[in-house]
Amino acid sequence: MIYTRRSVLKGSGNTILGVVAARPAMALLDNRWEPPPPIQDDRLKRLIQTAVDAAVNAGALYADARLTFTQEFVPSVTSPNRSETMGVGVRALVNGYWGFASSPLWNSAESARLGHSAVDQAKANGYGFGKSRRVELAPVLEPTSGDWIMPVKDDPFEMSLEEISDYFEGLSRFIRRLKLYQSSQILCHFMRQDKAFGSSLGQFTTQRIYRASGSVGVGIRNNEGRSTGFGLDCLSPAGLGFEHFRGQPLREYIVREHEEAMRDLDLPMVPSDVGRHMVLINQRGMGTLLSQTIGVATEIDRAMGFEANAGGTSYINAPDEMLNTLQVGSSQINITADRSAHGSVGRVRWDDEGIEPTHFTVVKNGILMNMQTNREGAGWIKSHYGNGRTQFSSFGCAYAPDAIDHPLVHSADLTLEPDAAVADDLDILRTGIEKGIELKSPDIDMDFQQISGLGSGRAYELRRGKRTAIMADIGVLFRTPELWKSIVQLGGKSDLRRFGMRSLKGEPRQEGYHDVLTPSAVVKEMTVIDIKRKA
Amino acid sequence: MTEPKIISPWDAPRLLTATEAERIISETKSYCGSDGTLGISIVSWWAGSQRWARNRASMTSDQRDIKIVIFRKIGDAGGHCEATTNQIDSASLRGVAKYVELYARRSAKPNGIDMALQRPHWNSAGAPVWSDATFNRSIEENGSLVHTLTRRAEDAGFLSAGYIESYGSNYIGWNRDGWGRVSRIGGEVTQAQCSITVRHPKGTGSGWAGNSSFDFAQVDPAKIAELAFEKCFTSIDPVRIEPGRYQTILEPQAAATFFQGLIGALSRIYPERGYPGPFLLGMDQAVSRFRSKLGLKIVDERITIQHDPTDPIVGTLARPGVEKVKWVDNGTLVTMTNTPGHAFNELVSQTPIWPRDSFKVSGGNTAVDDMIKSTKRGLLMSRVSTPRLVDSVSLLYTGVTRDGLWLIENGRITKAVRNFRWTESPLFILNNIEEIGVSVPVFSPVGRGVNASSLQNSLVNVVVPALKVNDFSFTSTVDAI
Repeated sequence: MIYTRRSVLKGSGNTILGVVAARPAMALLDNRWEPPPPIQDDRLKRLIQTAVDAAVNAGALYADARLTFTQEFVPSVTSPNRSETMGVGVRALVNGYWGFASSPLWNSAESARLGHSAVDQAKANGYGFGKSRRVELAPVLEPTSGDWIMPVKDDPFEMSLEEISDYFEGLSRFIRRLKLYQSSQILCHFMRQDKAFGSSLGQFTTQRIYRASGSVGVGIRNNEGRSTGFGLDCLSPAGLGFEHFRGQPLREYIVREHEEAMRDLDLPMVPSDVGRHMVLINQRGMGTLLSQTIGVATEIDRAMGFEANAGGTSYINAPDEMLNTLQVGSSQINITADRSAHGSVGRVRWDDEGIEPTHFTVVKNGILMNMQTNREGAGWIKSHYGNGRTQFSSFGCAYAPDAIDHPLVHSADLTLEPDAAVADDLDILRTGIEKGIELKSPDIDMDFQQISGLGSGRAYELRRGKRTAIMADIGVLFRTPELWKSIVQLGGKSDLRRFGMRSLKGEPRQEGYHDVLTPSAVVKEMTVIDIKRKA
Repeated sequence: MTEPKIISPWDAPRLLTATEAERIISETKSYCGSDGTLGISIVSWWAGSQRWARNRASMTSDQRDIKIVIFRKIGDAGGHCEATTNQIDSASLRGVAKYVELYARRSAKPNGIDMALQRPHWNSAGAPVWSDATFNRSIEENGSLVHTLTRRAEDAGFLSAGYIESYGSNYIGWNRDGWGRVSRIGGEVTQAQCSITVRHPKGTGSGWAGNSSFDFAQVDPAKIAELAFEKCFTSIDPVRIEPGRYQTILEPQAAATFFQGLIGALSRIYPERGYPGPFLLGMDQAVSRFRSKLGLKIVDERITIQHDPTDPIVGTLARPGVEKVKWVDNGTLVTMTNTPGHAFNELVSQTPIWPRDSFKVSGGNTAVDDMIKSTKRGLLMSRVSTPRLVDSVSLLYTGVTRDGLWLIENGRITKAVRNFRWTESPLFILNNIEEIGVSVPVFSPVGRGVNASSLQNSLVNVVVPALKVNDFSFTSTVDAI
């Protein structure tokens, strides 16, 4: 019997326990402090308008402003942790130079100050150059207004701490009863962000987004003292509420992973088989590869050298010439992007420039078709547009973690299209490998152009379609173009899995989140090394 | 409607005033009970930054924020609660305090007592950590500077990208432990940073240089721009050579990565609890305890690694556990970090030794040019990236070189070479030193809005020498330039 007080607490938790009653953040509106009003409140629209007007009156050709109210919550009965922060940020374009100013105060006078300050910053940007910088922003085809709330089933910020904690306590007890149990750790984190955006083009949007993430790690140890562990990869960041946990059959997944870990304990350990091998990579591994290689490389600012002093550049370094011609993978590789899928962590209705993201093709039949763009980035490759191919527009990839930071191009949610002709899943793909290696959720380290990479993690020796041993200290070396051309088989539609990814970029460093939806894949002739072997 | 008069730090000052911070602490205390532990930390920060790419400024920013963290714990055996806000008005503070009070009290164990080892302390007088020159830089000055820094690259047809930032932060921490003892810390720091990457427009060469300090005057952006350009210019069209073991000169920025790997592994808890690691000596059967390698020689005897908060170059903030420390003395491991619990329970010590990111390595007197002259065949390494630990027992890391790698033949640089993936351990490197250069500060900026409870990380200064080492292991070539 699972210990839970949910039925008792449901419906009464909020008021009795005061979980949401204690609100750290307050806004100064209409001469008095008050809890941050709903993001759709007209007074917040006026704050945005005040900032934008101040910037335009000070000389901005274009200006936009964002308000954010961000709540974060780490639920635990013994050590709850909660954060509520507010921000307002104003961006102004003057003579082709961007200026940005931000602070945590929601107030009319502060909005006006930030509008002026952003223009001052932009003007200083061009100081001494004696010439303007050419910027062509992709047009806003139709100024958007609207409100949107990411649909979630269970808003964790409206639930009682006890209800959430009971769930995890039950899960924890379930795990502790597993055979050969030795240790476990369960972590979770929730974020809810209200965001308002307005610009000098007349756009005004508000939206609420959610992010839920967690991890479950379990260690087991057999009587011979041999130990191993497993985790759940289904709890990566998602655009969901508490249903990210409660809505998934976590116990089934735990049992499945536990059984696999028990089998692992019976497998012999063998040294890494250095050489070239057929390698089966699971969905999570393919997702990480997609994100770290083509995903990062097709961010337009990175390709154009705007990240050269931060994360690095891109092997796709001349997008104007490479679009529609560069073969980045074999003909079966098709990659699409959007930010609208239910449950995806990158999901928004509008990006941080008020653009509604569109579904677009990044790679079609192995050919590079589009870069991931914001409005300015689309302008850098304007020649790519037109001729009836694509309309000159942003794909809606602008994002900033909150209003204190200015928006950058961040990766959209990416999908590696499965092989529509087969119904293969990971298990079926494995049975087709006579001799090879299986990599389970490898970590990927890329160089600073996303071209040379190293993958490492748990690996199995495959013989006649079965796991026959655990391979120690294995690494795979690859070059991005060859990797995507060496895929001999992708899983089918039923093999697709979604994972949330966290990425870092920019100066100052800011984090972004996006999803990858990928099948598992078989890659031929991957270079396998002993990762601990020195030259 | 007339706008309300706001008493706000944003009107003119970039940071919270001391009076306002005191008001916040005093007010927050009044909302909380007088029992148990109460910690209040306030950090306010401002950052003015310029970012550029392709020889043109791409963004200038003025950002400021506050972080108020309230920590509450009632009884040693009970739970604790922490809440954060960036709002300083009474209603917000009351909300935060109410939240932590509610949950700390609900999870309290009345008979428990807080065992945290606290004693009154203040920010001790150490090295200078505040610079008006950093804090008062104007955006016009920085705008003009960016123009100057990009000119050389632009005139030569190269592409410059970079970042300069002036950062100022003040903080105050107030803590009352379970025995009612009160301690405070507080102070203000600045940080200036500048880093530049110059690239050949066809992507055939890349150079990087950077520096950071509390004082903008010590960063020397002009020199950084020149160095980045030179490195790019001399690294154009690199040739591919075979991976293998090379005598290698690590410039200070590259060497710093390996020293950081060593410093980060100096926890005393793990070896003394028997966890496998680089500093586990083994079981002492006589007393049935695991022993660490404290007191044993672990690296070349020319290496001394220390941190002195009062050192004008490497100095940072001081507090108990962040006092002068020598980690490695002439190659011998003399100090390891330990937490309050470990110190109290196993070492019968009142003083935890906190890990810290700032450190200074004893230098030699060999110039890099002289190292090159004395090298028959080897490599000169500018910088590394994405270091990843692959074996925690031998402290083996892997990563890639970037922004300049050159072949040295018969005492001179003969060509730029393609980047390598390397697989190497700081312990191996520091036991295979041929020559040691002069110690210099390297680029080591920290993030913004650091928490007052981790003040040792408010400012990071790393001072390391160039090293010439034997048999550095390069395991494969990397195509990125």
